[in-house]
Amino acid sequence: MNKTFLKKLAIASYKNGELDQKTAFKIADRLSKKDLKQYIRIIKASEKAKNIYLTTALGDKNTEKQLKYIFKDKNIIVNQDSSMMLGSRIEINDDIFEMNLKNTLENIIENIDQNND
Amino acid sequence: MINSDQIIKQLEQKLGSSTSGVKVEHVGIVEQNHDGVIRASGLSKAMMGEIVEFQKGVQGVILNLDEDSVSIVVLSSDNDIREGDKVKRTEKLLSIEAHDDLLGRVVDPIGTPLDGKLKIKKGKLMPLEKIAAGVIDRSPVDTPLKTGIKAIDAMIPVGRGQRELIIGDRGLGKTAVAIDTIINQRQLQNKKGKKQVICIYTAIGQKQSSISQVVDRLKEENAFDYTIVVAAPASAPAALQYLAPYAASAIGEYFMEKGEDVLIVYDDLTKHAWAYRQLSLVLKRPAGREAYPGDVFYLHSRLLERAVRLNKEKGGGSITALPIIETQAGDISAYIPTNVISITDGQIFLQSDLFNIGVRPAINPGNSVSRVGGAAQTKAIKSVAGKLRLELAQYNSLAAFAQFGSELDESTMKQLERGKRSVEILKQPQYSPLSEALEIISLWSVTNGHLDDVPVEKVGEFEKQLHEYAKAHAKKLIDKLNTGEKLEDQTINELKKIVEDFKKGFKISN
Repeated sequence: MNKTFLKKLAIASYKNGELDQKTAFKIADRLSKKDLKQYIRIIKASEKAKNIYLTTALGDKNTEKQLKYIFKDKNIIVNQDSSMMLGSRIEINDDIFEMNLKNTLENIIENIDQNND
Repeated sequence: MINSDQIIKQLEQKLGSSTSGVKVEHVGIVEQNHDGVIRASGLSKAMMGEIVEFQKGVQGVILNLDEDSVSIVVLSSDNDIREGDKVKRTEKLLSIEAHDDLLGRVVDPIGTPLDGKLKIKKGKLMPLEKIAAGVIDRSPVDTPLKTGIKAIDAMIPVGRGQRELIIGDRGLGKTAVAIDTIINQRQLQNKKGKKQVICIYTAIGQKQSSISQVVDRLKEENAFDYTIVVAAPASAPAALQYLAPYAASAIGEYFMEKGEDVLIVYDDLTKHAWAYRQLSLVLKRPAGREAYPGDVFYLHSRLLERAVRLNKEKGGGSITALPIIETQAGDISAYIPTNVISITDGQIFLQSDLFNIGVRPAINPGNSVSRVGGAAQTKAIKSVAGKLRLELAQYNSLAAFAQFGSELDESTMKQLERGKRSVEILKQPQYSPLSEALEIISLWSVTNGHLDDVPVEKVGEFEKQLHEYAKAHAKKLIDKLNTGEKLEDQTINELKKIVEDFKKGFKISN
C-alpha cells in the first residue's frame, strides 16, 4: 500500500477534527505491520501539527494566554522544565523557538569557542 | 589610550550580539536507518546538500528531499542513530575549512586531520559544491606544468589549468606518474621568478597502506611541504569517498583564489563512481547503465570543470587536474572511461603490453594525446621533441615488418635503429623526475643521431652518465636550458660539444 493511500486513510480516520477510535481500529485491523507503522506515523504527525508545545521554566501563564490568543485553532500543551532556569521554549511543528536562559548561556559558550579556536 | 571601561563596554557589546534574538531550531525525527542512510520526517525547510546534526553530535548530509521526509547520509562510520532520535538543521551547506596550515597535512573530506597532529586552524570556509568559473574569467592554458617524465613532457605536454586523464589497467604505474609529477614540483621551491605549484593528492577508496606509502615517499623526496593529502580510504563510508574529490577541489580553489597554481590528483575516479553508485542505489534513485545513476556524467563533469586557469583580473591562479581511471583489460570504451575521456583535455594511456616488455612508464604515445599540445611546452622542448612522436609512430609500423626477417634497405634499418633508441631513451625509473635541461639533453641527443652508435642495451646507462657529466661540466648550459628559451645556434653547439666529449670517455670505458 503506498504512502498516498495511507494518507487518505489517515484523513478518513478523523471526524469533526477529532480522531475517531472506531474508524482508526477498523483501518488498523486491515493493514500489514509495515503499513500500520506508517499509518501510525502519519496520524502522529497530524496530531503533532494540531498541537503547540510550550515548556516554561517557572510555569509562566502569560505566554500560554498569548499563544492561545494567536493560535485559536491549536491545542497548547504546557510542560515545565526548571533546567531552563528562566524563559520558555515553544515547539510548533518542526520549529523550536528557544527563549530561555539555558540556551542563551549555551550560545555564549558556542560563540566563544568559534571565535577563539 | 583606550581605558578599561571602554574595553568592558566593547566586550559587553560583543556578548550582546551573540545573545540577542530568539534561536530557532528546525528539527526532525529519525524514522529509519539502514545502510548508512537515514530517513527523517520533518525538516520541512531543509536544503539539498545541507549538513544536519543528530543528538549524539554525529553529522550527516541531506542528499534526497522527498515530500514528507528527507534522506540523510551519515558522514562517519559511527552510526548509533535510532528511530525516534532528533535531528536538527545546521543551516550550513557542506564546506571545508581551508587554511595555509593544510600544507603538509593529511585530512579527511570534512577537514578532520588523519595524521595525528594538531587540529588545523580555522580558515576560510570553502563550499564543496561550487559552480566552476565562467568563460570570461578564464584565460588560455599557456604555462607548462612539468611532470619531469620525458615521454609526457615531450609528446603529451600538460599545461597549468588543463585536465589530463591518466588511464590504464591496474598495476601499470598510473599513481607513479602522478606522484612523480608531484615530486618534480620541488624544483620550483625557493626559485626566483618561478611560481610554486601546490599539490593535492586525493585518495579515493585506496588501501590505507597505499596512502601511507605515498605519504612516506613524498616525505622522503622532500615533496610533502607543498602537498596536501585528502584521504577517504576503502574503510571510509561511501559518503566520504563521494565527497573527497570535491573537498580537494574546494581546498584547491582556496589557493587558486590567492593567485597560486595548484595541481590536484584524483586517485581514482573509478572508485569515486562506485561510491556514488552505492549511495544512489541505497537512496533508491533510479539505476541506469551498469547500475550507475543517470547523473554519473555530471558527477565528474562538474568536478573537472573546476580545473581552470583564471585571468589576471581574477588573480591568475590555476588548478590543473590529473584524474586517474582504472580500466579492465585495457577497455577504454567502457562507460566511465569514455565519460571522463570526453570531459578531459587529453589522456595518458598506459598499456600492459608495453609494461610487460619493460617500457616503463608504459605510455602508449599513439593513444595518448594532449589537446593543449604545444601551447603547454617551452620553445626549447618543442624544438627538440617536435619530430619524436612521428618517428616513434613510423618505427612502430616498421617494427612489424622487421619481425618477418626480410631484407631491408639502409634507410629503413637506420629508422628502426633510431626508433629502438628513442623507445629506450623514453624509459625512466620511478621517483626520478628530470629537470627540463636534462630532458632536453636526452631528447636532443637521440633525435640528432648521437645515440645511433650506442648499443641499445647501453642507452640507459649512457643517459645516466651523460646527465652526471653535464651537471659537473656544463652548469651554465644547464641553467640556460632550464629557462626554456628557444635553442640558439650557440646553445646547440655547446650541447653538441658536451655530448661528443662525453661519448669519447664513454666509448673508452665500455
